[in-house]
Parts: sequence; C-alpha cells; structure tokens
Amino acid sequence: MKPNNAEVVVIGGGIMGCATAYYLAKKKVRVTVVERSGIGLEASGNCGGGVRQQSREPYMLRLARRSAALWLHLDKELEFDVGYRRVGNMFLATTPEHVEYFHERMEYEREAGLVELTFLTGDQVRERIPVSKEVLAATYCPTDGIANPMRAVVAYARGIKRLGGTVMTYTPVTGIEMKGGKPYAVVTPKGEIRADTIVLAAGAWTPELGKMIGVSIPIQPNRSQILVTERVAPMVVPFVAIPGGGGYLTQRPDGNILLGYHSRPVDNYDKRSTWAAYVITAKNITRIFPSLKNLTIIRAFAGITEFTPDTRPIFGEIDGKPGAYVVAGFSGGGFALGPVFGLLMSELIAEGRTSYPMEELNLRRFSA
Amino acid sequence: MRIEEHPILGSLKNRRIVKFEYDGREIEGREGEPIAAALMAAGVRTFRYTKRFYQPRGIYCAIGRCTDCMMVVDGVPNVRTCVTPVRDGMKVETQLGYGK
Repeated sequence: MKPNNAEVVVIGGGIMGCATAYYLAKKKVRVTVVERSGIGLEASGNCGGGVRQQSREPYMLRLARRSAALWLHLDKELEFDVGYRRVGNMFLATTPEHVEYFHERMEYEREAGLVELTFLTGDQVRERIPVSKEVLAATYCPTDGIANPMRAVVAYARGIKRLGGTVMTYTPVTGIEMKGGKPYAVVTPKGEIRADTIVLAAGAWTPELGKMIGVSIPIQPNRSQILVTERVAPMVVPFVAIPGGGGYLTQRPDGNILLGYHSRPVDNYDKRSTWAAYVITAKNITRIFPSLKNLTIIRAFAGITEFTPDTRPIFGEIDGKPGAYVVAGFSGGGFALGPVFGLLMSELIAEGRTSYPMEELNLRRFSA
Repeated sequence: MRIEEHPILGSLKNRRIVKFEYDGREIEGREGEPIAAALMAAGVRTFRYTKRFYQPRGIYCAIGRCTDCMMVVDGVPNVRTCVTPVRDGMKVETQLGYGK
C-alpha cells in the first residue's frame, strides 16, 4: 500500500493515538495512524483495564471524570463492545496513616466533583470482598470501573477506518522530515507520508520520536507485570488497589483474576515476565486476600508504561515546532484517560483550543 | 476402556481397587491411575459444562495442559482430572461453569 498524504499523521497505535485519530476523523480531518506493530499491542493492551477517577489530584480527577462520561457511551459511539462495566473501585487502607490520608483525599476529591466517593469501614469492606483483618478501611467509588483494553483500542481503530481515516500497522517511523521548523513528512519503509501536522503518541517510545525532530521528551520506561489466575466464580467485583506499593487486583468478566504489583523502571524495553515479580506479587496480594492462595496462576504478561518526572502526562503543541504535538507520559494511569485526551487533542488540532485548560500539561514545564 | 499393559507405566493387573464417588454414584478405579482414566473406563465422557454456552467438555489433551477435563474434586473446582490420581473416598463432581 502506497501511503497517501494526510492532514494529520498520528504516530502510535495505542489508546492515545487511536482515540486522537478517531475524534479528528469525526471532525472531518484526513488522518493517518502509523503504528510500528499492531493496534494496542504495547501498554494499552497490556494493562489492568481499570477506568478510575478516584485517587487522582483534582486537576487530573476532573479529566478522568470527563473520560468516565465518554466511556459510558463508548459502545454506541464506536459501534463495538469495549467491555466497559461500572464495577466500582476500592482503595484499601492497611495502616492508620492510610486511613487518615483517605479522609483528607476524600475531602478534596469530593470537592473536585467525585461526590459519590464513599468511606467504608474494615467490616464493610469484608462484607463485599474476601480481605483479611489487616484492611482497616477503604474509599469506594461506585462509578469507577473496568474496560477491555484490547477491545477498546481496536474499537477506536475500527472507528477511524469507518470515518474514512487510515490505519497503517507494522509500519515503523524511520524519520520525520521538517521544513522551516514545521513537520513536512513522516518517513516509513512503505514510503513517505506528507503531513504538516504530527502527533507523537508512542508511549514509552515517544522520546525516540522527539529525537527525530530535535526535542528532548523526559519519559522513563517502566515494566509493569501482571499475573493471571484460573477462572473462578465471581469473588472480587470491584477493581481493588492496595496503596503503599501493595499492588492491585481485578476480576475480569470471564472469571480470571489479574494481579498487578511489580512496576519498575527499566533501561530497555524488555517486557518478559520475571520470577521475582511472580513471587512478590503473589506474596503481597495473598496477604490481603488469603483465599486467593488456592488459585492457580495460569499465565503472566507485562507492558512498558512511561513515566514523566512529575508523573503528569505531556499534552500539547511543542514550543518552536508548530504542527508537532505530544500526548504521552501517562505514568501508569493512561488507559482510563484515553477517550478524554484523544478528544481534547482533536479539539486542539482541529479548532486551535481545548474545552478544558490543558496548558499546564505542556512539555515546556520541563525546560524551565 | 483401560490400558492394562503399558510399555512404560507397566501393568495395571494386581493394582489395588479404590472406590470413589462420582456425581452421587460409586465408581471403582485402580490405585495410581488418574481420575479421568477411571471415569473413562466407567463410560463417563462429559466431565464439565462450559460457563457461557453450557457445552459439554471431556478429555482432550490428557496431559494437563488444555483444562478441558476440569471437575470439582472434594469441593475444589478446576481440578485437572487427567493428571490427578484417584484416591479412596474422593468426591468427584461434574463442573458446571466456574464450579462454585
């Protein structure tokens, strides 16, 4: 396939790239997504699938709330089942310090709009999920939930094609040509794609794209590992997080329980599972959920997430490179935010402004 | 159906008979053989029903990989009967879905 020219080329076929391209195509922009491998095969497709609003700073919480509203109708929007279920999200407290912090957090989170956030005592938690006495309390958000990571990203990619956009998989970007400080063409082994607007949405690989246009993007890859148990009858309905490095778990609609714990900075992009992660994840999570001890782990997987120095994402046009945009650096919490960041990026590109103030997420905050 | 003489595993003759319960009825097995082998010999072909479409499943790979032969054994669901030796007094049940 000889690539056609486009108005916008989005580099990266994860949830950020595909959502951005989808909403651009909906705004009648001629858009092409270029993806080095397949759709959603990196962090987007290898995550826990949580769609959470709680436990975010007020600014990000308001964005997550907008995203949750988009998720609610995403099946209809994309004409595809993305597996979104409002199963709730629980943060467990195992120390008095956690409990105190939860009260504080609840106050500002409710003020920021998360009015349904509730406090549960240890016994109230044990009525809902099989946790040990170690759990003292929890914050519970009933409007949080889960989605199917693989289906969600594929749904966006299908939507792009339905609206006349182009999705090129197994097409690595080998160079970006600039003219007068502006994007001119994206170079791939299948040919050049002329475009004066580009979006860098390659997750942990975004710094490599930055280098091609002489921009430093401070993103550190992390390897996040997940274990998968055999299928069992529903035992943990909400998505459960154990703060203080305790990990998280979520039971998928098919019955498998995903256990996530091990997220560490890596200096390469190796996403193999490690024995150390198996041991530490199983140990930590079964301490809180003793009844999981009898379950068999049937497989494990890992994904490469991307962390910024302040753990906030990077969003916006790059200073001095008009027409070059970045949406990356979600620091392990990006899947839930895909819809809203895609929508806002499409607004910024197609209309020149966003319906939510996004200036403080610009890359320039790191150059001061 | 039972392999009485096996080139590697040896002979089944003179093995002790064990008795276990299968969905409420008593079945005989030979000590050391998997639950699945005893059930096959007793004419049982359906070991479980799938969760979503309620389809029957039985022995498929017979080496502990495919999980088609899972049953509820002594109250524990998802037990791979092809690699779990049969024992006296065991309670084996057809697994429905998750087998709660």
